[in-house]
Amino acid sequence: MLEINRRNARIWSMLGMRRVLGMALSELAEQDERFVFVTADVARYFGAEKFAQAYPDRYIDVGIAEQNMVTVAAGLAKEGYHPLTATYATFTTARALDQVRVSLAYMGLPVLLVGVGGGLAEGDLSATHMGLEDVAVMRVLPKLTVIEPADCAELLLALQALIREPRPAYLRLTGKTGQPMLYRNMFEYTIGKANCLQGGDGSLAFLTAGTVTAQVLKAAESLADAGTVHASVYDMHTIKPLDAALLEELSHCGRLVVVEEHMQSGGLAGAIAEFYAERAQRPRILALGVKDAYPAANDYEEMLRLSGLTAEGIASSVQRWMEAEQ
Amino acid sequence: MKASFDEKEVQRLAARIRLDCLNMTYAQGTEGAHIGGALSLAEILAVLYHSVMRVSPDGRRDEQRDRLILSKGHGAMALYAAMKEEGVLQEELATYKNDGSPLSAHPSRASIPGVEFSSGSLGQGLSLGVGCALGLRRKGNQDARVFVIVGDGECDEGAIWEAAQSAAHFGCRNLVAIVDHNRLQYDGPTEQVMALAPQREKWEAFGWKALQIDGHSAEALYEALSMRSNRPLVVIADTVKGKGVSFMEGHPEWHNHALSAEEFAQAVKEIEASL
Repeated sequence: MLEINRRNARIWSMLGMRRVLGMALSELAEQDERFVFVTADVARYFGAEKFAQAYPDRYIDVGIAEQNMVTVAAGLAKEGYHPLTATYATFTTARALDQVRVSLAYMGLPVLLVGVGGGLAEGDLSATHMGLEDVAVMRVLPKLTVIEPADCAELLLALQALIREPRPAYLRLTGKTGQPMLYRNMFEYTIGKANCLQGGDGSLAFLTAGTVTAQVLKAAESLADAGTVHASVYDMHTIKPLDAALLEELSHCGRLVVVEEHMQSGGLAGAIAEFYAERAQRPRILALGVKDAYPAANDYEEMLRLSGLTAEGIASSVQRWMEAEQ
Repeated sequence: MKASFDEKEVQRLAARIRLDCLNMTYAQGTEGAHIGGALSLAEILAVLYHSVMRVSPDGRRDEQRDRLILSKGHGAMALYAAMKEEGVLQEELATYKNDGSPLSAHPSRASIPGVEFSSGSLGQGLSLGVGCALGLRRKGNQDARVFVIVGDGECDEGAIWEAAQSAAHFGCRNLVAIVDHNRLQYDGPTEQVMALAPQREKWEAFGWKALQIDGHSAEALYEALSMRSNRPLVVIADTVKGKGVSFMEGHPEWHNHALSAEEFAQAVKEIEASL
C-alpha cells in the first residue's frame, strides 16, 4: 500500500478523499483478485479512469441508476466477488436504501458502499447533494459497518482493512480538495477502535469523525489557550460498531462534545447518546451538527461557518455550554 | 442443462405443486397465503426444476448450477413445492409459515440453502440476476444460466427497467427473465391499475430477445427456456392467476386468501381431476 509519510499525506490532502479513492482502486484490485468497482456514472468524478483502463473487466458503470448499482454489486458479491460501489452519499443511502437493506443488511452480502459528499462538501449544489442523514440511516441497519475517516491517510487504512476482511459496509467521504492532514505517519488502524488524537485533563472530551475533526482539534487548542478547558480529542472513525470500551472509559468524564457534519440527530451523537442512555454513570453530551434544516446552497466553508462547525463555531458553542452549566 | 423432457411428467409435477400449495394455504386457517400467484407459477417452476435447470442437490455449492432468483417472492409456496418435489429441500412443506420454520412467506437465503436471493421487496431480483450473470462471466463459467422470475405487476417497479437496460448493455446472454404474466396485481387487473402493454415490445426496445408463450404449456415453456440467445432472453409467460381452481382463476382477491373446508375440498378435487 502507498506509504503514509509527510510527502504523500500532503499530496493526498490536496487531492481530497474522492480522488484518493480513485487512486487507490488499482492497488485494491492488485491485492484482491475478487475486487470489482461498480459506479453510477460518476467514475470520472472519483478519477477512476486509470483503473478502468487497467482493469476493464473489473469496472462496471451502470449509468445513473443507484438502485441497480447496489443490487448488481450484491449479485457479484453473491458470486464471491468483493464489490466497491461509489457514488454520492445521499443517493446510495437514501435512494437505494431498500436495496442496501435487502442485500447488505438482510442477506449480509459483502458490498462496500462508498458515499462521496457526506456532510456539506457538495452543498454548493444544493440540499439534493448534501449527505446529512446517511450515517443515521446506515447505522440502524443490521450487519453494516459504518466508517468515516478523518483524513485521506486514514481513508487508505480503512480501505485496506475493509479489503482484508470484506463485509457489508458504508464508507463515508467528507471534505473537499485541499484538506488538512491529521495523520502524517503510519499508525495502527483498527476498525471499531477510536484514535486518541490529543489527551486532556479528563473533564471534557471531543468525539468526532470525518474531516471536521481538523476543526475540532483547532477548537480544542483555542479552548486550552483561553484557559477554558484542556479537552481530549478522539477520532471516532468507526460509527458502527462503536468503540464501547472507550465510551465505558469516558463515562466518568464530565462532558462530551460530539461534532459531526451530519444532522444533529441520529448520527454519531445519537449513537453515543443511545450507548449511555441506560447507564447511571454518564457524561453530559453536547451534540454539534446541522440543526434539522437544509442549509442554503453556499460555499463549503461558509456553510460550515453558518452551521457552527468551524473551529471558532465549535469553540464558542462549548464555551457557552460550559458557562450555562456553571 | 438437462436433456430430457417428458411433457406428461412435467404436467403431473405441476399438478402436485398445486396440491402442495393448496395444502400449505389450507393449513394457514383463516390467515391464508399467497395462493393466486403461486398457482400461476406451477408449470414454470416444474419445467425449470425438472427439465431445464442444473440444480445443486446441496443448495448453492455446485458452481456449475443454474441460478434461480424468485424475484416475486410471494410465489414462495410454489418454489418450496417444486424444490421439495425435486428433492432439493429438506424441510417439510407442512411447516410453511410456522413459527421458526425456514419456509417463510417470502424465501430467505439464510434459512434455505437452495435459495439464491431473499426476496419479498419487489423489483430487485433482476438487478441481482445481472450481478450474478456478470460474476459468472468473470469466472469463465460459460454454462450456468441465471433465471429470474418476476411478476407482471412487479414490472411497475422502475428498478426492473434499470436492470433490464443494464443486462442488454452488458450483454448478459446467460440471463433469462421469466415474466409471470397473469394480468392481475393486488388492486386489480394490471391494465387497469398500471398498464403494462405492450410487454414484449418494451423488452425488445430494451435490447432483449423476447418470447411470449402459453405459460401453462410445459412444452412451450421447455422450448422457450432451452433457447440460447446472444442477448438476454425474456420469456413472457401468459398465465392465469389461480390457475387450475375454477373459483380462483382471474379473481384478484385470491392474491392472498384463506381457504374454507369446502373450498379446499373443491380445489383439490379440480386439481386431482387434471392428474
